[in-house]
Amino acid sequence: MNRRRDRALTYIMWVAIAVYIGIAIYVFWHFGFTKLPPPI
Amino acid sequence: MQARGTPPASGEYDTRGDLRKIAGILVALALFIVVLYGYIIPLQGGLISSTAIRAGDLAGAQPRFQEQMPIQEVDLGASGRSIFIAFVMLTHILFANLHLGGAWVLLSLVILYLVSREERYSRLGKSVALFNVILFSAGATFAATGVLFFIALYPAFATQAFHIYWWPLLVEAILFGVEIFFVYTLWFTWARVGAAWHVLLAIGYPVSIFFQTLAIDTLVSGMLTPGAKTITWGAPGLLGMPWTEYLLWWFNATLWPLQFHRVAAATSFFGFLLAFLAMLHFHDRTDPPSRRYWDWVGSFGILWGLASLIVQPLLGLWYMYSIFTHQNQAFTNIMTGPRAWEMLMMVGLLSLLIVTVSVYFIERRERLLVRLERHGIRNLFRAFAVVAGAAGLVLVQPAWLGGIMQFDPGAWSNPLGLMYYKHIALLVLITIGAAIIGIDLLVLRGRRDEEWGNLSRASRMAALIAGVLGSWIVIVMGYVRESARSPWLFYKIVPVPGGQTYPTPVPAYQIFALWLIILALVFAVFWFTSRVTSYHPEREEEV
Repeated sequence: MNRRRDRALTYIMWVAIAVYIGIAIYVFWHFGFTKLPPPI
Repeated sequence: MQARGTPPASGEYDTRGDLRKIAGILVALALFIVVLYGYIIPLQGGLISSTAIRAGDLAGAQPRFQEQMPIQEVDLGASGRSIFIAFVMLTHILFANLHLGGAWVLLSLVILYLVSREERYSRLGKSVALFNVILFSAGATFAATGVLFFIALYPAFATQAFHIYWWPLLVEAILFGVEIFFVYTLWFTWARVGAAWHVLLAIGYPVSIFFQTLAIDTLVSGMLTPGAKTITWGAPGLLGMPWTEYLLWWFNATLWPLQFHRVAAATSFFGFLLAFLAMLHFHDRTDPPSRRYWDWVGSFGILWGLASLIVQPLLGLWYMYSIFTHQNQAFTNIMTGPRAWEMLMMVGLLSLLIVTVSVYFIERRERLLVRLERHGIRNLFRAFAVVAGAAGLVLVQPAWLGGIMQFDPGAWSNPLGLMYYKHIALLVLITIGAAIIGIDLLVLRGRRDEEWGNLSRASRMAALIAGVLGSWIVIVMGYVRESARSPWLFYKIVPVPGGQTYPTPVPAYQIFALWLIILALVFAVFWFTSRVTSYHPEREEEV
């Protein structure tokens, strides 16, 4: 039971990390590439 | 728990590690500083003051916001007053961040202890609480000294600022008392009160410091993005101007991005500082339980530092976007103008931090990964360090050379300095940081405990370097915000008094010397304080 819970927790944290990277890409796209002035 | 049993004899593992990687980091840092100061700053107009560049704007300042009192000099040259303020406020930031960031780390330790009942969480939590209790007065002293300096050196500004922000500053002052009540009581009642009280105190501490910082940030952000085009006073009373106007000044355009960026930066700083101090304790202690314990503390601190570090580029982008839309000239100062070198300095330190953390994990987990035959992860850590180094090279590219502004006629545009490339490089660093956290916390979790105490010199040095870089980047950020605003105190309303005779911001070489002095001073204080506030495993019965 404990091992199962551990494994589930591990997957959840990996998903959280993946979601964070996804958010980072979105934020950079939204602000960095489209809203801030085009560089040079 | 610390690893059980005795640690392996030193002959069983390489106690030195690969010191060439450490030499590489230090050489890269030195080269970066030399190229930045010797080449980029002069060729981007970084040695020309904002007072000279924005002289035309200053002529438009209303006479009532010009200084009426004689300029109080401090015998440190034309930038003396700015140097005094920079010294006192940047030092204050490092002490204040112990609470703003450390309070969240402390809360995590209380929760981890209550969930796991592992003694090391309680021991570290109690050490952190006492450390912050003792250094509280240092932070408060520098804050009060800063106020004195503002009043004496910039009286016209101080009169307006302390009047507009009377209510937020009163809240801030009261929260000083609330904050020390929570952290002192938390330490004093440690293990003497029930879990619910522990959690209550541990939550009250970060919440009170969060709102205290928010209160002071209303002023700090309002100086860059004021709530109105000028200051208009009303009748005497509890409110010196209509309530709605006060709200525009207090909850101005950059308040929230500044606030959240500060929290993340402070937490990252505290994590790396924890790792730095742990490495010194590791070196200082000879008994195996203490060495296992401090090795674990170092790893715990690095993970906190890294996790909060990779949040900052996102919050930073939000902050920059707010400045771009609400104070465009300040944005051009720091992105496409004479203060852009400061952003290069910041991203250079950020890149080196990620490289250094990668090297720490390569070295720290080497033995474990070999034993577990996880060669894929070993190679991945190495690849992370190389890719982070490459991303760093992209980030430190100047966008142009040979002009004060990027679009000046005759300025040379660097094709490698495109912001698009830098955004991608930042995303790469964020991904690497997140992946390192995932691998160390999730894949190696449980197996790491077998290894505590086997810390090579290279990983120890990597953690020490991360501690210094993690603190340095914080005071660079403070300087960037202040110099973005130069030559104004309230942007385009209250100028820095004295005009061309007293140029701002603090010149590049002087601020560099100041950074080094501040870092040396606070790290000495941190280390000597940590020596008396740290609970070591072997002394458990004494405390």
